[in-house]
Amino acid sequence: MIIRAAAHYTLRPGSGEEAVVPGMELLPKPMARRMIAPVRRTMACALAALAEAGIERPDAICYGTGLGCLADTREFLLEIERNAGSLLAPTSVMRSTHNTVAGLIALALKAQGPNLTFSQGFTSFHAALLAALMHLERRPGDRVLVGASDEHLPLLDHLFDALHGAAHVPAGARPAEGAAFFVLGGADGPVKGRVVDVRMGPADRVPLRDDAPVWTGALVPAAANGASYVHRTGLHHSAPAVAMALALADAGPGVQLMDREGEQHGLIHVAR
Amino acid sequence: MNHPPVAITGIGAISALGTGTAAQLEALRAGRSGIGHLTHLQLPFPELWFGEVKATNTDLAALAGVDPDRSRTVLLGLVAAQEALRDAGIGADTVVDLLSASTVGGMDRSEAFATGWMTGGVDGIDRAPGHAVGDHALQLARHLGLRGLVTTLSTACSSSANALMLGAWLIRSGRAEVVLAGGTDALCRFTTAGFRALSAMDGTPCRPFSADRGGMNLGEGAAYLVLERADRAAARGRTPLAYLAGAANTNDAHHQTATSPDGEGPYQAMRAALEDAGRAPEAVDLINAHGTGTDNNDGTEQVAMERLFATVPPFVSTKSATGHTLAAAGALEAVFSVLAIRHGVVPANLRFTAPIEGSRSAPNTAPREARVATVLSTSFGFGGNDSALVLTATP
Repeated sequence: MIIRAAAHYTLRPGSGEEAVVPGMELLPKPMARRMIAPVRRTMACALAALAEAGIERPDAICYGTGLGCLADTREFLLEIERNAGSLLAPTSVMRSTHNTVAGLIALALKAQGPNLTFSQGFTSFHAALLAALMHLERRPGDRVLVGASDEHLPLLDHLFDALHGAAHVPAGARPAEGAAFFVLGGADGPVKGRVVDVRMGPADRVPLRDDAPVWTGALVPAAANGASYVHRTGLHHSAPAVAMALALADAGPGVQLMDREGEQHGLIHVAR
Repeated sequence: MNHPPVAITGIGAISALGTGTAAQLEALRAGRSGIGHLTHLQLPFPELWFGEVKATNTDLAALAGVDPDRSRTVLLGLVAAQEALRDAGIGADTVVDLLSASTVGGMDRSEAFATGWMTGGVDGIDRAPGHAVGDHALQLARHLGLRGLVTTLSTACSSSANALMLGAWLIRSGRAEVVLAGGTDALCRFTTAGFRALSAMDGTPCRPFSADRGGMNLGEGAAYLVLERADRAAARGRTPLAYLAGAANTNDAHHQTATSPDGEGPYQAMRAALEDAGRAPEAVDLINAHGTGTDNNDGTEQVAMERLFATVPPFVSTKSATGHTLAAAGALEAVFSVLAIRHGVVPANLRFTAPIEGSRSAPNTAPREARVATVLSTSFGFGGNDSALVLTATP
């Protein structure tokens, strides 16, 4: 499947680095004012991918997120604790559903086609990408916006320090925020690369090929012919999407991205 | 239609109407309501009305054959999913993909620690990984011994309708032969306080599609359906319960939590699902409507139905009996649709008082027997998310 455009960013809190977020100038101002900062950055990233592909409105939106709108979810939980029994402010709960971001993109663009949100830890983006491929097999002329994003909260540093025993994380990698969006399909337009294959399932159903290097995510030990991508993407559930954007920018015939969530493995094979 | 038909070969459900599909059928036939005050859950809302599953977590764990120390969302899901697989005669020798749906996931356990691990403490921190909404699906797959793809749809109140649509796509595209698709959500403080903050809750048992409707009652439950490539079902001698003939998802792109006055998103979802199924609107015998009981939903949904159908077929909101089970609703109502087809029963829209002003249709108010060959089942959610399924007696 042809990839027409790609945009991504990573924000590493506490690193001193400034995040370069594409598309901030494309945000509709009144809408942007009402968004919390990570959602604004995610939206900008999605608009940047659409602008690169030269389209105003995708025919479908497939989105993944590991933890959804974590800040608003936590905010509403704390609101319940603070004001039990009295009338609570609805803003944070309205913005707390996992499909908030995909819904806001549709709202901003008047995109009335299929709008799907998946959440399965480090394999959330894989499901979104698979849904996009299936949509395009049914409607080959369509252009699909596919992407993933995850927020960062200090809470995640706290959990990482307390619980990260199982992670295969390169030294120094810390919880981060990040997003990546792609435009797939369509009969014409720029060509950035292609998705060769997407597989999901237990390890035995996700076979690796030996003719392309393997980039591994946070819960996968580094492969013989590759390395962990986590130091480049930051540690967050949407890192596989950011890694796909980085793989497209790298020279070479193709990359296999391998991730895991529990017993589930996710493999994305991309080529330029 | 140039894709293989998708058969439904097993169903499982648990809701305020009871445990198991036989209990659901009995309640639908009798026009019985499951709405009441809480009797089993310890939540601080004594004045509100709910569609509570009448079982403690310990009861549910015993039914599912697991340790009760896990989210109620998982326990409900296990009970329904086990029934669906048993009903389909699917054993551990079959590779089954799981498309599950939830909005709250492990929230019922997280919320007890809002001032613990969520704010920098360590109290309950070992439970934190179970907070992620997708974790419930991994737990289901583990306990059910599934060996295929596992993923979670989370598109608010349309989540499990979308899980069923994706299941159909997996089978039609040749990627899967057997898919377990559905959803589960437990009642918890977060969603109850949330819908109350949105002023979306009725202070009495809900009256969907009534002129004087006052909002929704929250419910809980789980429902799963076994989807199977029809020729595979035939080859192993199974007669399908029904078919998932068509499905569609659209976006209203109007407002984060409200539907447009002309019901454009719902209208397009229903139209596209019928087109996907290769059915004309006239073929529809029953609409299992979303019908939450809120002012905005029911008004706009009825506008959309009246736009699509010259004469609106019998329609009902079974949420008047179960409450709104959020991510489980689409699958639970798909199970009701299968029961309607299999047993020739048109369920009731309970507590209907008077038609919505300006409407030219009204819901079916008492359960009755009728031949039902084609059901349109709708689910709409936050984020403008609108889904419709077409369930049929024949491919």
